[in-house]
Amino acid sequence: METLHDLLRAETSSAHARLEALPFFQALQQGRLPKPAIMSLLRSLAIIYAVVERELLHAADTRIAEFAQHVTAKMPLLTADLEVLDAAGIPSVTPAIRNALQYGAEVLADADDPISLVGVLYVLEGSQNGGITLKRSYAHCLGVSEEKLSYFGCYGKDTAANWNSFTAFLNALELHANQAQTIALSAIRCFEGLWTICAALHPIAEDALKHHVTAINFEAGDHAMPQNPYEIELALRTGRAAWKNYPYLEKRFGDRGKRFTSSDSCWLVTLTRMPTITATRSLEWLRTVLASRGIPTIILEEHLRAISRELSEEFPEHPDMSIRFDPFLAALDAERCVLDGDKKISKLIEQYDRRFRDCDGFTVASAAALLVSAWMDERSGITGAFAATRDWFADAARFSNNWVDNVRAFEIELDCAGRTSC
Amino acid sequence: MLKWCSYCQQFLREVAPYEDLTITHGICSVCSKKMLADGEPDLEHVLVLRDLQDQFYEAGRRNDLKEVERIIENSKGTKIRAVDILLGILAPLLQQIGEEWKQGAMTVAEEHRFTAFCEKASEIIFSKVANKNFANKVLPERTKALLINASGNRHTIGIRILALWLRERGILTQVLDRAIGRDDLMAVIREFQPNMVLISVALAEQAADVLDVIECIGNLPDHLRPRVVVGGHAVKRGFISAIPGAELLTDISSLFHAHAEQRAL
Repeated sequence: METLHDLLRAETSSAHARLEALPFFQALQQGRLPKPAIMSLLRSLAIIYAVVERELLHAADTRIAEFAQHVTAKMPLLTADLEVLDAAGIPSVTPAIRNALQYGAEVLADADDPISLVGVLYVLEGSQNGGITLKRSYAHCLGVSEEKLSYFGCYGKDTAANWNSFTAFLNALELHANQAQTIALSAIRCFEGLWTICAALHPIAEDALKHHVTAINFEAGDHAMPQNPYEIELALRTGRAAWKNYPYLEKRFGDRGKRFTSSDSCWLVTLTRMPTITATRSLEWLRTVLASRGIPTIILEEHLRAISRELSEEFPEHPDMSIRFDPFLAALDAERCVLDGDKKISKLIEQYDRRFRDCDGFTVASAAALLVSAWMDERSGITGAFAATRDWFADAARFSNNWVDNVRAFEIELDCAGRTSC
Repeated sequence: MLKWCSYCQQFLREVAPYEDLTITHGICSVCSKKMLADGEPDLEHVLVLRDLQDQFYEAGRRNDLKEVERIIENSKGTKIRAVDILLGILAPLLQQIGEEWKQGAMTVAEEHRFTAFCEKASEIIFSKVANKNFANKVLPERTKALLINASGNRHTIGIRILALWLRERGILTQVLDRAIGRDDLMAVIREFQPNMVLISVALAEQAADVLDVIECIGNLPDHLRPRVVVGGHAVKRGFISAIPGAELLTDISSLFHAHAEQRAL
């Protein structure tokens, strides 16, 4: 009886052969594949894996969840490679990145039926069989030793054993009607997706090399990115400062949040080259996006002020860039004046900061200021902004009872002060 | 808001506030005249439309395309035309999805799935109206519109829906639903000779590409130079307030009004 592995091998053979026939692989084996092409391949794979591994993690289908446990996560390996290769400053082959984004979006939409992820995994896991033999070529083209690379051929001497175990698990999957065909189709689509990526990677088309935001954050999509390396550096620096100023970000959002802070910071810098009305509207939009997800506007506000400050120092010849955020920041000041004209709320922040500091157990700096900012966001019309922040700070599984009681009391006092201010 | 004629069930236009995607009712000019003779319109129709909007939303939540077939089939008895479902129900649903993502009510994965659902649902409707003959409505001067996306805007469903709606109003349309180079675009304009080029812009940063297109069009001979009309999410939401050399439209139905006014002139 034909196994699922047999079926997949047969169904994908022509798509597999078509992929391997690309000039990309010839150039790789001849040792003349340019570094940006390999970097962009790693970035493209990171875009795809970010979707696949996230969807596997949340798959409601127990068969898929169990299946996923047998596969080593590749995101940490890809992240490590890109760090070792100091990829941030190297531009991307943008058509390949866009093809990866498109394929990633397709995987995401198809993951509604999580069985489709099995076909994608079949192709990606299978690529490690070729990866082990191509690792030396990749290292040669990149000018590094093989040991420095984590992703390509990641199973090392266990590659064959790992593949056998993977295919055994594949064959043992209990499938319902048509599911084998769904898996086969998704595997073929994966080969086709990889084909569009690798075809764009070599030869590199004229004007294809640009700084793309996915070099900073695989999950950032396809938004604007500064092309001036000094502006990118400034964006990353101010993003890091925002992260440092509010330890809440790291505690709540972890590494993924850090990547988004960096990519958002790059986008913010691009706004300084847009018309003022565009920048202001875009900031209003971002404010809603962030505040609705538990990132109160005070963080964005300080981040913007830092960018403006740094721009005026680094690019004094472009004073218009450093004032681009002024109307948005002035509107925030005006909002604060209305909601806290008598400074009652500012006094409450001081008072509750002391109380929060005195609490036992896990604590987070600037909690009072963050809660007030979220409360102001809500008052300014962003529905759900306060709950998005408060619920995290009032979680008894995370904080002491004393802390949670203080959060509740603070909310009551804020509402009370708000009534009298208005 | 989405204004439909509560009498004949045709989508009329979007009206401010544009971020509010609830259905409101009005009366088209034809029905307005008819009403004078027949009396009040049936306001039950408004409820039918809102129900239809809810049904599509729920089908989208469940990714249930069979339900879409059923909804479209059922709508036949309510005088609602497929082209109006596209423009007045499905296109706004896509905007609503974007708004829900913005407000954190929908994850990226849900947004992608819902968008894919809307695209598939639109394909079902496209297939039902693909062979419809609009020839009797073709205007005598053969007004022609070329519809394209600004570079970077990969969602082609908007311009395809708009093209169908314009066709239904007698305008000859051509849609470029894939990215092409400037020289190829100018070749298409030379051959098709549109009166207007409609460009859909999703993000503010795509305005730079529109300027580039305008410059290329400016280099064409006078008799081949079409008007450039820019719409899409970035215009509708006010991210872009002006593009030199282009007319901005926040509401696609006003395009037809502008066109009608131009004809009158």
